[in-house]
Amino acid sequence: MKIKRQVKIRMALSLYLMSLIAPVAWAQKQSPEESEFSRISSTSSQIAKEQATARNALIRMAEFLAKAQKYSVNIKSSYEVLQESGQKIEFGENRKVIVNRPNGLHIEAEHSDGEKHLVLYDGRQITVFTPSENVYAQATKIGGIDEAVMYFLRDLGMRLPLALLVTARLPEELDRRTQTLDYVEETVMDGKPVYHVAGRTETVDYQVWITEGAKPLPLQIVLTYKNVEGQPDYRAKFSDWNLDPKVKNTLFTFTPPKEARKIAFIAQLPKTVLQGSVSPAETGEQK
Amino acid sequence: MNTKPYLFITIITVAFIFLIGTVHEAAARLGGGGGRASAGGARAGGGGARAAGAGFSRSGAAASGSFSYSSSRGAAARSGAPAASASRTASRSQAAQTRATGRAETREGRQEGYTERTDIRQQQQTARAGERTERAGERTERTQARADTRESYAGHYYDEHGHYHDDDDWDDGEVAALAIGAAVVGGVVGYAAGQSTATPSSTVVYSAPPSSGYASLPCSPYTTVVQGVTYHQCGSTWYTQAYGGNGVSYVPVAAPY
Repeated sequence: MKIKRQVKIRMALSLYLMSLIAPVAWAQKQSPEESEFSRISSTSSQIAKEQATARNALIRMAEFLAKAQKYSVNIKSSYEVLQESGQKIEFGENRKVIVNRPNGLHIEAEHSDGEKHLVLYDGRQITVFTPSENVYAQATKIGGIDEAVMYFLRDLGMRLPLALLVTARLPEELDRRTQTLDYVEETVMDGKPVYHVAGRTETVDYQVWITEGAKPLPLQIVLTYKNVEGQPDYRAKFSDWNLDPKVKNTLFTFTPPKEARKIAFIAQLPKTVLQGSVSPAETGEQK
Repeated sequence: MNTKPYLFITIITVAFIFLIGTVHEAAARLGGGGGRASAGGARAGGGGARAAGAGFSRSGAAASGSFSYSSSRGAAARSGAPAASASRTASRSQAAQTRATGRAETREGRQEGYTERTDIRQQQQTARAGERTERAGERTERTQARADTRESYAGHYYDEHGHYHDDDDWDDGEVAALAIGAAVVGGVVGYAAGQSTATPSSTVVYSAPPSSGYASLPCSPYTTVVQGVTYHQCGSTWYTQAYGGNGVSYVPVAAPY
């Protein structure tokens, strides 16, 4: 009996020891390359999954905005300017944007120094008006919001932050320019769950926070001008998204106030008239 | 004899709790992200001189709010500081110097504390670097794949839209500098290493006009309207108001008659 018990105990002990040693032995038997490979493949599949999420979120947002027949949104933005002294100073702006495809654009801007501008497009004329000076400039451009905005920026050398977002070509433009796109995290903004994605173009790094669900809208955008000294940021927070605003034609057509003076765009002034050398690049014209 | 097992269990429990605490702390520390290596970007000028309250420039690349930026456009000449009085500039630079010295001393005091933390961070960063390298490899492949896609895609898309080039980033304009009405010759150089090297001349003249013209006129001008266009004359130079990237400015033009 005693012997039997001893045998049993020995067997139990040896089984116990084997159970302890087995995993170690198995781990040693597995080659380092194999374990490395499985680690990398699991990491890369995770990255691939995240990137698919990021891409999906960004494309859905771009297509949603591009196809939206009309919308209005408020944008609170700020941008950094590196001063000669090396100090970065931040300036702010508020904008109200109303889009009514294909031909209606209404943008009210108020800068941090109190200056206000109004940019309108009615399918025929693109107008910029400054109430404080009671002056406006107008240019004819037929062809819809995209054509007008591109002409306004590139040919007239005017400024219209986040202009890309109001164009119907947004999905193609983002796709063409983006070199890498990554998923950062899922987070909460203004009480809504959002995807935070980060893209890189040749000259600008961008981050977008996009609401999850059926209406993928941007709630925040950060643009980093990475090739510029000081790598300044442009930041924008979006609020009051309305996908069914009440729009009337009078919103997009400019009626000059009393005694408003019509002036030119610098880019339209005849080159012979300008004193000093103004290169085509500076006036926003294509070389 | 009976107390032994209890003592043993107590010791093990305490050790276990201590171990868990240590692990938790280490995890918390790992959560604190390491420092970010900043990549030095190419210098692309473009700091304008559109005055803000204290003569700060409002113009620069980030003001454009565009998804692309052409550095070739950023070579706008930096015009000098606005006609802030020289004395104010000088006193400011002295104040800045004093502040800078004060800050430097404070920094030295903090240095030791940072060094320890830096060591820990560096170790963590090394651990992460491997993972990042893997990702970088992945990205390169993806970038290549994207580029291929882009090439074929661009060819297809832009043929339909004739006049836009594949690389035509139409929103990449620099918000050009807007000179202040009275630029100071020589300009005021910023605080280089906490010292002002500014020797502003009291002569106030115009430098070459930037693309956006001037924020204000250098004189109380003679104003006239010719064929519906308002002109302002200062000495022998005529100006007219026009819209550019910075809004309304005064642009030098040929005499209207």
